[in-house]
Amino acid sequence: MAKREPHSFRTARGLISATAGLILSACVHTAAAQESGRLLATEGVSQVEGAAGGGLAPWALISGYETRDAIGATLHGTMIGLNDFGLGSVGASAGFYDRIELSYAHVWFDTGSAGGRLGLGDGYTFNMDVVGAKLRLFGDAVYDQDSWMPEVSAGVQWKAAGSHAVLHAIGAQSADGADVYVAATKLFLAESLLLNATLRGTKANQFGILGFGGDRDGSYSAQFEGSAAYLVTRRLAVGAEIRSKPDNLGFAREGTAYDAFAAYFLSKNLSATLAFVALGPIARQGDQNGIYVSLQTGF
Amino acid sequence: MMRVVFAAVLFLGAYGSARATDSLFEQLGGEPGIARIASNALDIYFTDPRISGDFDNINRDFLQPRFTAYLCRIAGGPCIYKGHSMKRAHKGLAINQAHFNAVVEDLETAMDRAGVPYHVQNRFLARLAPLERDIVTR
Amino acid sequence: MKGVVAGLAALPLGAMTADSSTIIQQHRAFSVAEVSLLRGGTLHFSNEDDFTHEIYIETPQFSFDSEEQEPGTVVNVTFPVSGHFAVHCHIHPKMHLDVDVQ
Repeated sequence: MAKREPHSFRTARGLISATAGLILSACVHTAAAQESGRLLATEGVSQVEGAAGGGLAPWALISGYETRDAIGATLHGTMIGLNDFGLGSVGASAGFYDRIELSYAHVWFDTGSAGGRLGLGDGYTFNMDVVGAKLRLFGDAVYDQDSWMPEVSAGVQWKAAGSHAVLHAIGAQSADGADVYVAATKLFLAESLLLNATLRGTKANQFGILGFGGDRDGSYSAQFEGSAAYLVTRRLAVGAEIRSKPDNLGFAREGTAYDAFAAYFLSKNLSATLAFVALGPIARQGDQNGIYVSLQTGF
Repeated sequence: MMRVVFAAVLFLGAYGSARATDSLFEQLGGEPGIARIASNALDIYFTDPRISGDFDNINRDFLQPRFTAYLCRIAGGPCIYKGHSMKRAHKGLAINQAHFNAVVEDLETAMDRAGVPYHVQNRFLARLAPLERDIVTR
Repeated sequence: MKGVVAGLAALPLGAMTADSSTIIQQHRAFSVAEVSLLRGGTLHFSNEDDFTHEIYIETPQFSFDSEEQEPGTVVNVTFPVSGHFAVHCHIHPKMHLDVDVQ
């Protein structure tokens, strides 16, 4: 068997190249940021499937730091190092007139040495592409401070996973699927607190990386995602998230994912997020906990 | 050990309740604090290239006392504001969302310079944010 | 005949001198930059703007202050003496009207 470099080295290389790419684009777009319309830290970050939100949950906010008169965009790179696996995501999103958001993310899942144990080969990597669309229905999380009304958006994430043969072998019904969700986000500015609740209809196994539907359950189920963020300073937000997941595959049980995060907004162009994540059991290797690092540039 | 815990609880309770009973107006520094915030903000508005065009035909001596009285009233202070509503005062200026946000950002800077703590700033901004509906006409 | 020609030649080119005139205030400006008036004549300042104005004249020969002039109101200013007078607004410093009173 060919020797593969250690899982941690590959994670580090990926993170370094993602960082370099983002810093380069941040420098290029620094001048443009002066025109950005919206206030700092009113966008959240990019969630793992590419939509604007927390790390795990999409929010109702439209990405890109722009007002209803303009278009904004973001790029993100995320690496998650778990007990037995590495998970990464790179992507882009664009927000149009604070009304529509389009996003793309490429997600990969590196099995490391667990790949060998699973019979796939050490370092076997699953891949998934996600195209997202979000429509703001009503409300404004920032300006509507005098009412209980949240900002509410509806979205869809079209997902296509690779490794079709493996997915079929583990009991997934399909390699492609679509998640639909409704998110309600409210900034309680007087309390420096942001809350989000997302309801998602999905058949995805492990976010879609292991396909859609399975032998245990082949139908859509309603899943709940919640985020709470406290604004510590103008540039720093800390918080926690929860994301429940379906459990469709008899081969490998999965459960609810959690994270506790700190997001630092250097400027309108650059934010960095660090989180502890607990993603629950993955691919029969037990509970997967670890560190999440993400960089996002906006312009 | 229990005495230390008890003292800590008393201290935190006293500290917490002292903060809770300070009104927003007091937390902003009362009338002198608000006057300083308003003056700092106008200094920035008249020179911020994003919005200084909106201020190129307004007499600061006319605007400043009214702006100060308005902020004071919004903060819950005992000031009397006799000027027009925000809607009426801004109607002819065709303000857009980006300009409104720039004004808010500059107000944050003005409050930073006046030494207002971040969370107190947010309490104040929460009362001002809904004005977006009245002020933004474009 | 010569007196009539001389009198006509004395008129400033392009200016109509009358005993009253209406000046419109709009977009934080006066509708004209200058106006001519006969001594004893009246200017009617009509506020068709979205903003309150407060027009004033301050010279040794003649002063005037409208106090607050709300949108939709008209302020009448009668000029009892000849001379050149500048009309300004306390609130909007770029508003300027030159009045030439004959």
